[in-house]
Amino acid sequence: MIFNSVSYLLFFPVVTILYFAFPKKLRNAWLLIASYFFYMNWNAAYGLLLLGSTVITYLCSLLVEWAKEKKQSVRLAKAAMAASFLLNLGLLFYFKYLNFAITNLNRISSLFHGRQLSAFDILLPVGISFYIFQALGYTMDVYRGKIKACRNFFRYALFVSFFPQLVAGPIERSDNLLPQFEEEHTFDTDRIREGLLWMLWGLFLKIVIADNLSVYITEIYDNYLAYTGAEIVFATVLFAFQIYCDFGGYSYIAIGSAKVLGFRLMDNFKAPYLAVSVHDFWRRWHISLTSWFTDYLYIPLGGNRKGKLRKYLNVMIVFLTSGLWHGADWTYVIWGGINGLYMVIEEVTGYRKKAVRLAEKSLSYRIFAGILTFALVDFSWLFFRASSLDDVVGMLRQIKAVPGFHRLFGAVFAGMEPSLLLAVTLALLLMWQVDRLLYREKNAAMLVLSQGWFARYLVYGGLLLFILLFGVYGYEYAQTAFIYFQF
Amino acid sequence: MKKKVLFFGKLFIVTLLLFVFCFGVVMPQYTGNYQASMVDKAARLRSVEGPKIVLIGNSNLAFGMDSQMLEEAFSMPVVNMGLHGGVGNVFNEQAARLNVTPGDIYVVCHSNYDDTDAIKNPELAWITIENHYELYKLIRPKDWWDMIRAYPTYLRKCLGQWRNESGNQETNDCYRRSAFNAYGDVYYPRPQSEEGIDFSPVAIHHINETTAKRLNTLYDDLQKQGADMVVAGYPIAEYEGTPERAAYDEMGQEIADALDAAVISDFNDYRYPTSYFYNTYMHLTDEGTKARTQQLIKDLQAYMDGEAKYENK
Repeated sequence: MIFNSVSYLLFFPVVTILYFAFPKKLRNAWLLIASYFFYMNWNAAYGLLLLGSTVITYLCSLLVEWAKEKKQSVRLAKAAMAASFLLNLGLLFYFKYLNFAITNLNRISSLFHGRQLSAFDILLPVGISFYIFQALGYTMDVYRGKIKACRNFFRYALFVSFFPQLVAGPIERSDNLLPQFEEEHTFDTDRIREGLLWMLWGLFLKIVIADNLSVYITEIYDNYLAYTGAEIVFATVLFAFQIYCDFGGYSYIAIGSAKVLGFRLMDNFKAPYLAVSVHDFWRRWHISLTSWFTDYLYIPLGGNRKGKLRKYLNVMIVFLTSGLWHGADWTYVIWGGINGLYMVIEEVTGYRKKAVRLAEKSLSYRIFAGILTFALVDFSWLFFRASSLDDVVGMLRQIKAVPGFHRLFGAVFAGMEPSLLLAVTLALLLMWQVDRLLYREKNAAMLVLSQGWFARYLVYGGLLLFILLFGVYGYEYAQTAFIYFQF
Repeated sequence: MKKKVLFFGKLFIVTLLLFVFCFGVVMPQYTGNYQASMVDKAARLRSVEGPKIVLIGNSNLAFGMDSQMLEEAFSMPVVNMGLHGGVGNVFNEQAARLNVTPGDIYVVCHSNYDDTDAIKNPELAWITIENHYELYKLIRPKDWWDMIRAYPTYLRKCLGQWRNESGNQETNDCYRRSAFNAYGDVYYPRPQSEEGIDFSPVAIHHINETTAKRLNTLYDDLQKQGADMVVAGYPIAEYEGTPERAAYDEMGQEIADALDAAVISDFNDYRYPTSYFYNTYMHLTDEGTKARTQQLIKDLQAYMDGEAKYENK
């Protein structure tokens, strides 16, 4: 079930009420049942996959710790860790990358008139990239001694399957989430109100902004030859907000849901489009994945400890891998590569440190840097959003050949009814204001909750009305699926 | 404790306000719509005291019955509950349970007997019932989950119309509430056939166990209340792709074998030339309506005289 569905609207209160009604010793069991129910709602067989990954990482992590502490054998520990990685990444490869590999092998083979392999009919299980990475992170943490291996299988299984963050993150760290399952969580109305407000905010971002923009963007990206360059560029600009509001919205619902239950998940976004450099952007965008790659790929590769050239290479490897993580297509790899290149150029030119210094001193520079960063990141989003490399090339050609700025505003206003256009514009402005608060490390929800009852209810009522009147919901709307579910 | 009580109290009030807003302020938005005629049909059904003839089915009845002719032939009030195939047989059949009195005759005229025992289009069902709570009896308990899931889709459309003040309006064609007469027939003039009707859906539909079981349950329930239920034919367009007469004979016998209710029509008696069809392969012109009604009168009369078209197994 997805967060913006009637099913979740019924599932979540039932799970929450029973969670607090049950005695402490039964609560984790209840959450585990609920999490598996939540996941198997997509497809019952997915539960087996989740269980499989859980069992592998649980056992391998125990072996890692035993090998290091009892046997004093780093080699055995490394072997156990490698087994965990190989088996889990093997699963990921099979479900996500096998057909991609076959397609590319066939392309190479066709150059030599060789055999063509048949693709497999494989359905990508929802969330597999997320929970496998979360489980692998745990194995690595045990190996590094950051956390003790969890002896209680059911508690560990809950860590991997915890439903608020199971299918699209945040990719949690074992030292943050795992200990929380041993804590007692009280029915704290202040905390619950904050959680519910974040959930409402997430829904607002998703179904008022992201899903309304999606209609316009999909039309242009699917039929780009019928549109001018300006329209394609504008659609790409809008996509930057669509993907942010879609994924950010999901993250806020996840964080809010967990908060209601008493759990603290990590922030996944911190006003990314107010970043003053690409480095700054990647400290604010999909934070859980970026930090995962930093800790579990970049640092093991040597990080910045082996010279500048090696550092740049490591950065490229991380970003290309990140691109591949997002999808089994060259468009994603290129997207990752472009961002990696930006990062390297910022390092080489020293722009990374300069941008932060200048932005702190000068508002006009901060605005300039912000627009520049947005433009650079947005250019890469074109690759991310396009259906294929051919489409990317086609759109770039179209942008050059048929600029058509004169048609831009006509298309914008013709695409949406006026009240909806106004509503989405206001929603974007509101989102920007909340992001400004987040940029200054302020908790927007707490700010609202600290106001008097009139202001608070104005916010609740306003968000609810916007969602009801201008949101995209209902089972007939295909765009209601979250973008990051496909990863 | 006080904080918890206040919290739940506020949550309850917000939920209540939301409910009042949706069900009381925004809904209904389709009172001028074709589907809204169900309100009038149900009202008529409830208002008729004593034995009556109730027609159950989809728009083949709405666009293919002269209830006044039927009423005059049998000196019994007639209520045409036929509405829209889009909601499915299940929804249409539930109309038979709204006001059963001893002596009632329920005439089921489905155009297919192989459904999946679910409301075919729950959103359309919402457009029909909206916040007319007396119609909520048309939804079986087991169908409420599908209805709840469809509610956001319906609500969104309602909100769009509410926002634009474009709801509750009638179109100018036959698909509006005022196109129905007091009996529940579409009496919008249909003098001739429109061009471009697609007759390709004309086909044999073999009865399945699911539909048979449900209809037999309905029959039992009606019988217990002193009412009767029969199955009659539906309009079949004769064009080059129409199945042979033997196939319809076989279909009729299958239905008769599977159901406890009497099948009072030879389905082949309801084959009409394409010129009798108004705008779809199910909807009849005025001439077609007259012919169909006369045939049904014959079939009902024969049934009342003890004749059987098919021997039930």
